[in-house]
Amino acid sequence: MDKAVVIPGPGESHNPVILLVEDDVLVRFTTADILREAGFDVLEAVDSSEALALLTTGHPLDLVLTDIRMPGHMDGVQLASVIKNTRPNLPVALLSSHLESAEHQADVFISKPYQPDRLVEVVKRLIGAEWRSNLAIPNAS
Amino acid sequence: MAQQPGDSQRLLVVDGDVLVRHVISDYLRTCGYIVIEAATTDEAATVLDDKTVGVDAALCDAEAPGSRSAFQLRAWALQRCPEVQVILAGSIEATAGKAAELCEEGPQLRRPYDPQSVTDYIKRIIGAREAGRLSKA
Repeated sequence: MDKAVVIPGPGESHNPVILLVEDDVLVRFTTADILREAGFDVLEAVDSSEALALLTTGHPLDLVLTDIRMPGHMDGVQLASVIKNTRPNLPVALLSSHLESAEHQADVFISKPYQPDRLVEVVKRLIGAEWRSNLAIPNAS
Repeated sequence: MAQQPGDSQRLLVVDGDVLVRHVISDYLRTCGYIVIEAATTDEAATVLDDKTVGVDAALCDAEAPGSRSAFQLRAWALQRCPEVQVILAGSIEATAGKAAELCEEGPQLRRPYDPQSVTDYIKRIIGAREAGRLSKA
């Protein structure tokens, strides 16, 4: 991935930002809605190509939540590897009803179906850990 | 759309370019709408067909990808869910302009910022993406 071009957006806020990658439109909307209700900003991507396009804009990002099974040239496990190679401090969580691969570089696996409260709890924990990490290592991520 | 106090109006934004879709959706959320994002006309049809989602209106790129064209989607929606207004826009400028109009009649009855700034921002991030592609080539 090229060096990110940081472009401040007109509606950019200071809420924690989550990139959600999910190919099912109704699951994506429902999950994004849960996260927005919990106070997060959510960027939505249909597949890995869209996720990488959003990542390269340099939009502030605190967590990536990605489905494993997705159409396109890269599944969620591969996307997690790419992200971890380029932004190792950015937490990544895998979402799936099946864990096809025992090996992955994501920080956590969240099995579907999940309870909204449980999802928000895991997200808060991951984002809190990332913030503590960035405080410990200035200019990281 | 007539807005009642406490209503949460739901808009469907259909655009195949994630950068355009994200910025327009974010703009509309700033205006108080609940926004459902669809990348294709097929995703849009899935959302419109699910009455539990309760879409009030859809803003669709005239060149949105999918098995049916945006015009066919609008015709299909007219039959399937005539209460949903499907607005087609043929350019980034037109999409931003339609989004601004939706804001003016939406929950907050105002636009948060000028649609030209939305257009300019989208063009800047698309330009940055294209520059990145060229540098890789």
